[in-house]
Amino acid sequence: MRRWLGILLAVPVCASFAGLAGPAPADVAAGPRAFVSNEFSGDIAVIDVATDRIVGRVLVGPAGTARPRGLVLSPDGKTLFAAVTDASYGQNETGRRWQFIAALDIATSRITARYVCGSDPERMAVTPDGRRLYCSNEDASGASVLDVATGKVVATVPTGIEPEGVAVSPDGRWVYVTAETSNTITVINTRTNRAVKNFVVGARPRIVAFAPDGRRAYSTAETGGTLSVIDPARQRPVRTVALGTDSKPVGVAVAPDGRTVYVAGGRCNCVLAVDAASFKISTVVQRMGRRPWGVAVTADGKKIYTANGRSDDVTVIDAASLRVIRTIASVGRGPHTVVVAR
Amino acid sequence: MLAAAPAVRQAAGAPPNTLRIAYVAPTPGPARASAGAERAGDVRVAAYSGLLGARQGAAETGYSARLVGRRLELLEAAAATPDEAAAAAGRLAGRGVAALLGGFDSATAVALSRFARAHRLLFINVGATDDRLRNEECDRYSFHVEASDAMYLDALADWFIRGLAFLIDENAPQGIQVIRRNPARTWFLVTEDTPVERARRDRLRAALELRHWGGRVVADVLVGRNTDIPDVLPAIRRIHPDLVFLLLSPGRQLAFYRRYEEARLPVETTGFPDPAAQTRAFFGALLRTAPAASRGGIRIVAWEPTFAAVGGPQLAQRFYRRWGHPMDGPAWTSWAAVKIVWDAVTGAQTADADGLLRYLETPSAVFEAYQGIGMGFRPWDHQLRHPVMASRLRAWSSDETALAEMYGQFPNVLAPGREPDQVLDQLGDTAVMSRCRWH
Repeated sequence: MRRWLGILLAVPVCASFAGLAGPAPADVAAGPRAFVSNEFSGDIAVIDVATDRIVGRVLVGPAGTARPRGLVLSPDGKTLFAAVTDASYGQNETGRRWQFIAALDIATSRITARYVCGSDPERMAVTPDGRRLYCSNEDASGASVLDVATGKVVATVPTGIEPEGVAVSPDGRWVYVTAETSNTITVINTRTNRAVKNFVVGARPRIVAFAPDGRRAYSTAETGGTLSVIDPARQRPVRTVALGTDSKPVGVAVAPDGRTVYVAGGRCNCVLAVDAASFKISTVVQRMGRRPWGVAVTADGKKIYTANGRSDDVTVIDAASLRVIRTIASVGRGPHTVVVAR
Repeated sequence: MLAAAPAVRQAAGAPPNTLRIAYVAPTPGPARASAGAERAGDVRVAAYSGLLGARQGAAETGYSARLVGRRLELLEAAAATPDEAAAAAGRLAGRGVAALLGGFDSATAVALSRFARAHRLLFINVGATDDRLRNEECDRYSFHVEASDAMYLDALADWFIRGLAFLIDENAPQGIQVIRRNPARTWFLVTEDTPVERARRDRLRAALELRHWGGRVVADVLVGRNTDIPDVLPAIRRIHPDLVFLLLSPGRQLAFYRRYEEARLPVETTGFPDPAAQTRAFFGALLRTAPAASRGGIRIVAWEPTFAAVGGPQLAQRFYRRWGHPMDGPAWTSWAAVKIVWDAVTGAQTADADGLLRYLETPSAVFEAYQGIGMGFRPWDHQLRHPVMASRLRAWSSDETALAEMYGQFPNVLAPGREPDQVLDQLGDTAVMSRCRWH
């Protein structure tokens, strides 16, 4: 571990990463960036959204040991948090040392801090004021609440079994945490850091995301092949959209105007565009990378990115035409999550 | 905490907001790998694993139920005979159970199935593989989480003839490792002269002729209860088949292996995976009784505790942490059965047997149980579609988990471009093969 502390820093794409030809060193002052966690190569790829080229890479830990998965940006866009777990599922002491939240300073592309956020952190969300980070603890049936300023866990909240997806409402009042085994979503009051409600959604819920106006939340159910539409005012699901049991939906993102929900289908190798008014699938984007799990939309709503775990690439989709416009190859081994900075 | 308690119709007799599940199984027996080999094949070993699985399921599902303002209770009863099982079911049914789980032998499963029908109760079979339960003895109120004889035999033929198994590995190309072996084309069958084993033999022959071309039976020896197993060994030595396949009860499989080890025959051997033969106690007995003959051997199971994908490690850790015992096949079926009942109650919004029955028969009733694919019940025989796994025996160890390792899964749950039902219907009897006519 000690020797890895020295390389927990940004590594611009260069000769040290043989096989990644072409990209220039990271120009962090340039336009928006997309970040992709690679769970098997232990790193995070940095993509220039303007050119869709890989412009940098941040090594988090040894490939095959450290698994960066969930990513989230701070509200000010200055910090990227990465949830890191270990490939041994915490079975040994060495592995457990690779369970933390890494904070990446986007301006310098350096990892500036590591926070302990309970065991086996998988995904996270940050409150709109940037003060609290909520992470799911997959093996502990709970979520930890991290005070970002102090780097300390200030509360733990029981959730369903095998919690995964975490989302915070735009007004910062509620945090939703999915649980893959319990098929539930836990609602946490961020003022008290207590669970105030649990409700059942589809089989093996993975990711949950709020619409920008906070009037809806959406949760995928991987085994059930469904998208649950949740009314945050009533804290309960109000509709279930069938996506097909061969879709295995995981990632979900909402367009900035709230009109379209994009769902990454891990088995159909597709993105399903769901109309947020009619709750019908308007388009299925196909001919893309394999096993897309992560999906993100640019702030202007014009492009959609997917992290494709089995083809080691990122698919770029034009949101207007819902056609694949680019494949960014050799992103890393096992792309898991993608987020786009403003 | 405000809880979102779904408006679930109660089973009559259960306390408010409480789901009761009955579990009737043989008196649990020794379950440790260090137990004597003479008892390792006993059905009570499977019953012990099953009981732990049911309790794990009840603990986890009970936790999930409490989150939404409900309770789940597992009511247990031990029964040594079919009559005792039916009587125990009668006592538990009066306490308002929504479903009855059990059945580790055919006769008990039939008794529980008939009881369930008579009392309009769901019966979930967690341990009887007998195809007759899915055919001549099928019943509308009975559902089978335990795999059928046909499913296990198709998986065995897949491995030994097609020479193909699959291992989910997110770090592998396409997320799957394809495991291959040289086909075992010539099979030497050793069949116990009982109705159950003869039926399995007939299904296996049909599989070889109709679905798994390239394999053929070169010898087919029926052994009676008093037949001395060494009598078979000279024929195996003379014919030298690719595979010796044992359609013997688990206890007699162990006896065969003991003789086989002494004879030092080099032919690969495996046996039918009765639930007791899927336990670590049985694996340990095999490895101690016949270390040379069994080491490296492939055994088909409903669940292998070293499965390292799609949440398998988390499930294994939770189970081991609670019981100090690895989750084996019988434990998985019982755990999954409890979870399925709860998931069905929340999906159907009722604990009423007829409502649950209708829900379980709908194509959209898809369940999650860590196999990497959504699973539902076949409408024609109420068999849960689920993959089965291959365990490879390692070497005797006091660490029960280390006695075997995950080797492969059948079929390929990540096969692209197909619905889960289509994928999973590669194992077992299809609708046109079914002889089930609902009573």
